[in-house]
Amino acid sequence: MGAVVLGMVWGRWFLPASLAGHLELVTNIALGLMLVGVGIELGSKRSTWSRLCVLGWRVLLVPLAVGIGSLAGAVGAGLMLNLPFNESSAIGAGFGWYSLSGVLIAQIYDVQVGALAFLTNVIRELMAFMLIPVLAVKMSKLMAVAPGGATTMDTTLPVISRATDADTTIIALVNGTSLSLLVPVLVPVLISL
Amino acid sequence: MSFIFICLATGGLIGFFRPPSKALAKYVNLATMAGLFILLVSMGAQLGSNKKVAADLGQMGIQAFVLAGMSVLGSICLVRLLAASLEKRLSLSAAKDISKAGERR
Repeated sequence: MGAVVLGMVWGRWFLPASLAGHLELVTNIALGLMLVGVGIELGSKRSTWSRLCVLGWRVLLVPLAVGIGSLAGAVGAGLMLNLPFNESSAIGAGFGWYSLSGVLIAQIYDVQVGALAFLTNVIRELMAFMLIPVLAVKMSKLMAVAPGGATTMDTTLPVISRATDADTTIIALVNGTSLSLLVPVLVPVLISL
Repeated sequence: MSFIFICLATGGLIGFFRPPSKALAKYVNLATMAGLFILLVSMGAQLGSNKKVAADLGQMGIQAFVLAGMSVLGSICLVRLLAASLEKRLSLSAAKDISKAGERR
């Protein structure tokens, strides 16, 4: 969030017009660098993939349900807000990974929609932090995995671990990793529809 | 768009077949964070230089709240529909996994 605010201040008052033309080349290099890094991180999670083999294919029904539910909810919200299908679905496909979804949409589609994706997914993560303990107690442990989306493999994992049990924590890790793998694939595809 | 998939697949293949050592993983993480920082600052700069976007930030906040709320609600509702059968099946699988891990130790 600090980086975006810093950029806004820079762009509003200090960005020289001569530099604006070079910005695209720099951001393309940065995007390539970041995506290779993201790929290495996801590809090297062998232990998660081996857990997935042990738990069986049924565990993938959790990220499938979270993903479809998230997309359906975002498209429903898009209808209420008069947003085009491609924009609302791509924003929903961020699954809480605000940095990646925001910059991908800003880079390949429109910076304003990218900012909306960023903000939406920041709010989703905040909502997840508040809802996970409540859902684990009031509803069921598995339902506590739902609000976090892709963040259940990192930032919200400790909250899930505290609020639920070891089995649900493993499911949350698989859920977060699977959804994280889908974000860089689904967001560009959906925004290009 | 192909640029995105090529970069991602390249990284994925490197990570899967040649996972970086702990020391190298630090540098990979640093490079990823540097790339992300540049992109976020650039996104902010483009937003800041556009006066109309800056004026619409309040409206954007409301839209973001509705989109996030509905996404979370959609996920919760769908997991709720599947919860009963999933919990039964997954807890059995997980229990088997844990007992197997115990036997190995």
